[in-house]
Amino acid sequence: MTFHTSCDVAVSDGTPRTDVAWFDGWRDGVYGEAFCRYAWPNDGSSNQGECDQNHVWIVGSAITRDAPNDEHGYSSVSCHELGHTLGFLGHQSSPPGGQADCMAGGDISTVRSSDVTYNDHITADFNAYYD
Amino acid sequence: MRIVGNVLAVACCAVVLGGCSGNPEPKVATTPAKAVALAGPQVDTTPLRYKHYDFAPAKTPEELAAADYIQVTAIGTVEKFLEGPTYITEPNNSPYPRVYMVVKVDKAFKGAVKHGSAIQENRLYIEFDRGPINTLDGKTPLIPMSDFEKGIPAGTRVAVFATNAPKISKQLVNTERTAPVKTFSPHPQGLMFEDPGRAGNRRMVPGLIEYGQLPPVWQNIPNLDELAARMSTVND
Repeated sequence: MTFHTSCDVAVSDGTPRTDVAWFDGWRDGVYGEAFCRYAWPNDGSSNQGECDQNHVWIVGSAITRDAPNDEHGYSSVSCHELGHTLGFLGHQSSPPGGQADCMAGGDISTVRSSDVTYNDHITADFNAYYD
Repeated sequence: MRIVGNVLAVACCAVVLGGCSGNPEPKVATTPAKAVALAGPQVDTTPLRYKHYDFAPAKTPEELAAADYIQVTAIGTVEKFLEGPTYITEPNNSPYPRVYMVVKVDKAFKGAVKHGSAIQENRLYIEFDRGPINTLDGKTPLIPMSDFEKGIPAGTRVAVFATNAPKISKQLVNTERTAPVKTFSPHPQGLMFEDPGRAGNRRMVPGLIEYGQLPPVWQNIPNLDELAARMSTVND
């Protein structure tokens, strides 16, 4: 796997400028996974416990196997995993507000426009938190 | 907040006056300390749950066991956690430290023959990522090994639906910690602990995902023995 970027990915200087690094990786049984790779320690600083850099693994081989449209499959999984890095959980049954979006995850065998968007509830939460 | 079951040691003591002389010498008779397990959760999967997965849930244990990517299904008890080696990968030489959960296997179902060499002396090595790294030094894991050991106490019963462990990179350090046998990683749905301190069906605790992410059939499985019975229908 070759990593392609011109971004500043250094972390040990305490000032990483890349918040999410993306990988096309291999992992059996999943389409993608997101996790915090670098986090602030409990050092009493105002950042303690916060994630500094997330890593997202996209399993291209599984996506292209199961999605009827590769681009849609990649987009929906990427939308879902990016949502996790922003702090949103996946929907298990009914989405908040009853509006479907990519945080449902799981099923990439059907192409729906909602698979590649965030619903109003999530968008409002995001804007309120990050403004 | 971490919730760990408590064990209350109760020592029963009795004072016995012995002998018939005028200077009786008190003797203290003690019964062995008796451990009384209080009701309450003993399994805390927090150290294992720092990832979010996108996967197509298997509606039943049989469906998951039959999936071609599931290499081994087995039940057993957690014996210990061990530090594994560390993959070094991009970007910027990011460390991916491994941790092994050693499972003493009571019964292996699928893969018991094909992967028999990986179950030496009835031990299965289940591989996890160690979790977030300290961003200030870029190398130190923030989850201590003791968190794994406290969260999943030795002796905890477990069911595993295991895939091949993911390939992170070709660069590996601390190779002396490499497991002596082929390792596997659990499918997100495929790690279930039994916690006798929890009530009803909630005693089945998924290791990697939230309970609510389990399909209804899984949520209605009351204990590990019933799960094992369903796992046993898919063999080599």
